[in-house]
Amino acid sequence: MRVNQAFRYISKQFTPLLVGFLLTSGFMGNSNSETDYWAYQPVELPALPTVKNSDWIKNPIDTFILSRLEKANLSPAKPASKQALIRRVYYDLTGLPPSPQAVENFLNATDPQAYEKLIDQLLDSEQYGEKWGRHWLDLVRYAETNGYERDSNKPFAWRYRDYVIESFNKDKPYDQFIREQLSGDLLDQPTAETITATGFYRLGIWDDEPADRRLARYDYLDDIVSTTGQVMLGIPMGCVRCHDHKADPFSIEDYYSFLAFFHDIAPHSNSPLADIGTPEQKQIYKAKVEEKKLTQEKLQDQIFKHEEELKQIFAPNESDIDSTQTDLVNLEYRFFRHTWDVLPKDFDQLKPETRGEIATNRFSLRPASRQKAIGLVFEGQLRVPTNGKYTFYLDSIGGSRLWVDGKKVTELETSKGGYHQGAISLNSGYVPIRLDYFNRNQESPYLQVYWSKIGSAKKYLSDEVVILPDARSQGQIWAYTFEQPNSDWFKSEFDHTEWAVGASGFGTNSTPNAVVRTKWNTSGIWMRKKIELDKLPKQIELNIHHDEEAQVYVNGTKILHRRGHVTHYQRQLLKSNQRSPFRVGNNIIAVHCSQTSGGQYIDVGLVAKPIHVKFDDLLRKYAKEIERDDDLQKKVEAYHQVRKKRDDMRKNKIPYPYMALAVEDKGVSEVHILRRGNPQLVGDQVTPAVPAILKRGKEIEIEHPSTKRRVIADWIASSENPLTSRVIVNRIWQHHFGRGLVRSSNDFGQFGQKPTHPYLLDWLAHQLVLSQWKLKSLHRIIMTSNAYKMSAQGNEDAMISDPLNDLFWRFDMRRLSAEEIRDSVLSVAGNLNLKQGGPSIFPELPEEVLATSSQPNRVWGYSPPEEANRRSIYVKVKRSLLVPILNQFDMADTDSTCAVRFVTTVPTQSLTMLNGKFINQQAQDFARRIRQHGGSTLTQQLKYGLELVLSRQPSNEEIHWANSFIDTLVNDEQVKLDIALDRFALLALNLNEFIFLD
Amino acid sequence: MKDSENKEKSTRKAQPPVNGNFCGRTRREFLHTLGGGFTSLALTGLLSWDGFLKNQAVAADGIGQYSNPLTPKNPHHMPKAKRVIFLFMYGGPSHMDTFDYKPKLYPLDGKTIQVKTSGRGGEKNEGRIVGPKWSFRQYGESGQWVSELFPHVSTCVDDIAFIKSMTADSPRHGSAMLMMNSGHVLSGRPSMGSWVNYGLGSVNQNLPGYVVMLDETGGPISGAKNWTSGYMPAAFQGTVFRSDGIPIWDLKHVDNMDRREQRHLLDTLQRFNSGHLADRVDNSALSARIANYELAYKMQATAPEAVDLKKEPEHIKNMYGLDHPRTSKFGKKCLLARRLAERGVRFIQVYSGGHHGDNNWDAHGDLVINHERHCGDTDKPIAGLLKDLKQRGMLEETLVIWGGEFGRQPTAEYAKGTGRDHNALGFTMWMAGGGIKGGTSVGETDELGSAAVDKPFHVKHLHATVLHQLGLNPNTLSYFHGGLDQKLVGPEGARPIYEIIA
Repeated sequence: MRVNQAFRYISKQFTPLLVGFLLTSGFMGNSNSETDYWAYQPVELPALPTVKNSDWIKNPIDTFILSRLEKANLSPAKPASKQALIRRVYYDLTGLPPSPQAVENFLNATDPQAYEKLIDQLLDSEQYGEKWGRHWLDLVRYAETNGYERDSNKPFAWRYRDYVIESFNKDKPYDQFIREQLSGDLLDQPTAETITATGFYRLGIWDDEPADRRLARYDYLDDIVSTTGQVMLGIPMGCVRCHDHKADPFSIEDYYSFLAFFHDIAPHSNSPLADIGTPEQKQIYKAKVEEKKLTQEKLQDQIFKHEEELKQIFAPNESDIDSTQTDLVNLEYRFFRHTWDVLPKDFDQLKPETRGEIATNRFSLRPASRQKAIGLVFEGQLRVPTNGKYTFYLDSIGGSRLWVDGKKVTELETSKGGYHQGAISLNSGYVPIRLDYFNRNQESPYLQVYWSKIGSAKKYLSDEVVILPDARSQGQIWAYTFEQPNSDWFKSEFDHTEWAVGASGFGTNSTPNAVVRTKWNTSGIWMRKKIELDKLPKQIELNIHHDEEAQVYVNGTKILHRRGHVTHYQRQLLKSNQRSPFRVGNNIIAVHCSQTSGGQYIDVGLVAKPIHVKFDDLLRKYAKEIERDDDLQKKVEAYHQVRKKRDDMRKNKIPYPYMALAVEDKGVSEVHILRRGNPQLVGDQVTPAVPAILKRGKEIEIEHPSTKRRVIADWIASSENPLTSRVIVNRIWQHHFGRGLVRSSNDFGQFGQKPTHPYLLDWLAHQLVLSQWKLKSLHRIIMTSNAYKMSAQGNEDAMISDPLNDLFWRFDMRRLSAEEIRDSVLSVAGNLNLKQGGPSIFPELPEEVLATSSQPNRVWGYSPPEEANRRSIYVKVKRSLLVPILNQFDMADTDSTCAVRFVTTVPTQSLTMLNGKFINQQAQDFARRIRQHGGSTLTQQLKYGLELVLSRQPSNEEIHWANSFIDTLVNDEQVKLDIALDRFALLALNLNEFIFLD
Repeated sequence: MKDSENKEKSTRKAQPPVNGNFCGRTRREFLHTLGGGFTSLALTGLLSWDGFLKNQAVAADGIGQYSNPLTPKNPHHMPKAKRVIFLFMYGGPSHMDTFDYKPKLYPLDGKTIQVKTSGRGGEKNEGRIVGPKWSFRQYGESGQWVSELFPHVSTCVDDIAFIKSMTADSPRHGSAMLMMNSGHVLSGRPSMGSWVNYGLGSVNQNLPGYVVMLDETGGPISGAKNWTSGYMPAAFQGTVFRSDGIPIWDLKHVDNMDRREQRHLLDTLQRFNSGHLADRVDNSALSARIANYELAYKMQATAPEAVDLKKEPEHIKNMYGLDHPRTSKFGKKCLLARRLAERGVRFIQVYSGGHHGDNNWDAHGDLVINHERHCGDTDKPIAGLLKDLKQRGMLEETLVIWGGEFGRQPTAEYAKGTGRDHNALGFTMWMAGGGIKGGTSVGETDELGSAAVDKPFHVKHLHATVLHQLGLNPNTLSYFHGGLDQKLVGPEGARPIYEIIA
């Protein structure tokens, strides 16, 4: 009795009226027992009622309709004219007007089965799926972008649209249609088609940078639960997210138990794609890619050879020559800005801030726009010279992870990072390499990577070379003393063998950001360390964390004196005079640090930053030498040609076309009730279960957690489910008669509408199951009934006793949908391109509309005119930018399920239909068509034009109106005849009779 | 108690169905669509269902039951404001550099201190303070603090109420824009202007009831989602109005069909449509469509008149800064806002800032360059608007709102420079006119301006205040969708900010 409680407040004041209202609304009758509620009863074949006027009965639908009319002393409207009927049938099944020829054929047909044949012909046409698929797309909030700040593309979303169209066209049984969308990946034999169907889960809005990630996760799941509940079951589940339903018997536990079926779905991401290629397709693609790869590698080898040779000729003494060489090729990076606690595994799910190529082909932190709260992913190829086992050494402040040849080689996930290594056997050639890196909050981060074959020299893959690691990475053994040493303690030749040795850093643990390995708690420390350099770096950075006073000497020369303590590692780029004491071979670093109060700490590290000489720089540097030597010049030219070839190949990526937007599971996890829908208020654990009221004594069985979605799909797609068949037949009825038998076709609950014809609804549901859930047979039954063939004509008595046409005493007129209007305009103008399927099209948008986007020049694509003239179902659905004519005529909102479209009438629609660019262009083409094909006289042409828009012969009076319009324009307003005909065409496209259907 | 009663009222309207022209929406939804879902009309429907809607269905204008969704409707209570002008500072203005005076922040400039922030760059526990770059002074009799960025607005403070403790749910532009415009970080909800037109209808059928004017650099991110009608009919969505050229799309014929020619076309169209209607008089949508061609015809005259500034005297134009290239663009929009307000447009939103980067208030890089640009562009026009409305006696019934989708952090975003990251934990918005208590300030952020600490208010409280001033009860103005009575202020409701209501 919850609903009735809701009336308590007003009932105090308006009791007598309220009782009247409750009686008429039907609430009092059936809210006594929730389990008796009509929609949860099994579908049973109802007995046919008896009727007096049995002549009117064409099929059982008519019996149900007529018996109610007779009880109300109403009679059905007379049959619609053949003209009205053919137009109705065409629009209902194809969303397009009949051609004048089709109208004429139908009017003149002598075959008694002409009408039935016409229906079959239209049901078999490809346009049927485009019309009825659109109804389904409204329900599943179909759009091709994610919404929000970037409103980025959902790649391959159009495959789902094509899947829906094809499913309708091939008359796929509705139960199978549901199974495929909910569990196409879990069927016994998933196919490209069934995987594509699961795009259902990925069509909704998605914020790639939500303020609250946990809440966003549940918003995503709620979108699935709400959509599935309303679309497939007619249950508005969304409102049970926070509390038990106010009127329907659904509890918050029901909600989360239902949600549990979907809980393991992997989060949305930028590319929730599945590979749907057949083995043959994959083979073809793989061969293409392999061929390209081989060519590219050959070119790369040639480039290396050219460079070696050229360098030998014109720059044999260049000291930094090594740095032009790298074992990495095609290195690309993605840079992310975010705060993570550990190295994330899901970089691929995140939107990078920037991405690009790294020209130096070395791992580098340079692409990061800041030091902290960053992530970097590098991908490229590694050139492996010979077969063998290779070791990779990483030294990173911040976590890092390395894959080579598809295998993870080494990983250090912590935010501190440090030194780590791993080995792998590789074959010679090019292998993929990938490095993930992040830094949460470490000061002065660095990243060093090198590799070596056992027994060979190490080769750097990073642009940074750690000469002396600091304590954050590896402890280094230093000689040290706490006693004041001799005054020459910092000189190279000083003998420190008497000193103690210990691992860096030195100090006490209480110092912020210190890594202490050797305790130092006195007032001073002196340290010495020998390092070896094989060449002199052009840039050296010193990382230091120190107490009050610190001095650093290199080979006896003081290069640094810092006063005042610091709280974290400081990075300092050494100037040339600070660098000059370094030499090739052995170097002695000597450090002294003192402190007077508080905790102690001292640590020093050195990182070399070679300035990479790009080969182009060398060419530039030696341009004169090259110019002087013809032979050399030719070699350089040859080199450039090879490089260009390689670069072109790199740019022309071969996209893998066999992908579909699809669902994927992430692994099993527990589900809890969230009180008030708040992810912080975690309540009892629940297991997947269907709403209690619908169990009917049967517990649902789940053999394995990974089959959950298949189980719920089977339960929904079952002929025993009382809602599924009723909900879909109601929708079919809705789109033939303008309203469902249950008007609230997404809500079969107490807040929704009662069915006006409950027995008819059940009869149809029963029929559907009998005919193996095939929708085309349902269309046939409905459309061959006399109820469907009634005229839309009013009748005074009926209008008074049943103004809302609850009893179907006539056929309700309807306005064309947004898509039907645009498609009809294109069709009449002779421009409609009936090409089917494939990526979406971009009809031209006015600049004013593009200007509403934050990126007016990038927001919309271009389609050539012929493509742009395809049917509206193929128009790109971009959440933040709607095509005006579709938006104005009430296309479905893209963000939640839309069961019933609005039909609004506002003056801006008239402005667009009179003044807009699209309509006027079409009007001109329409006028051209009229001139070319209408006949030789103006009257014939006007008649032909009216015939096209009205799908009937115009009356003499109408032809006269059209003639006098032209006459007025030409004679009174001095408008040229051609233009006058354009205006007439525009007028014709604005006729109510063109936009409305009897 | 009051709230729960309201909730009960709003869930009580499940009733028999209505005509198929409402396409299967429940009668409950139908009533919401038509009537704003508030008590008066719902009760009318409840009390006299038989009489009322049946008459509606066949009689009304003698033709049919068509009802324009934008027909003026009665408010819930006596309104203080008749309309809203929302000056949207897209990108997020820095509150501590404009209206939220933080004296202790100045000496901390450059110092790294512990402070929790959450913005585009993630969550942080410490940061380098960027001292406010402009000095503050007290203005007006009420002594409101304003920085030197707003020399003109500072002369209006006795008409302004500052809410210095605003909070929002998201520090990211995409979701924060949706929140400020539609009350929720999730996409799909109707924007505030849609709610207002749904609740009150429009008094001028020759102009849209909800107008949006964008920055010349482009729209805000998410474009049309910011003025969408969401799950409500498209009739309630915002109409983009251009301040230059032709104000509304398709207002003018693409190849300049002249007006007499068009009149002939419409007359002939009318002939055909009347002939078609003769057998179908009971279908109100047909007559509505006929009527709308006439409305469109009128709109072609009225809309250009509304944006024609020729009749505005020079001194008025100068008040809005039209005499200076820097202020003329935003100034023109403000002047148009006044003209549209005079002509009965219910909800007018004017964007300062569009596109990306420093083309809006999103000062990540150089705060000084960014804010001097945007404040300089808007200060005089805003003050001009307030003063002009006041001298015409319109300010009393026009609610002016100023603010962005969030504020900015006291700390620097990068190692160098003065750029501030987003801040949804505390920021300032202000309102003036429309029954707002001028010369007041409510709520406070902490000493750094990093978060609201005293009397924090949420965006929903701001929305509740707007609806309340317009005579609508924010907790009962609801729209039935997806099985729920949806509200602008969310399911739990929100109280208006009574502290700033006169």
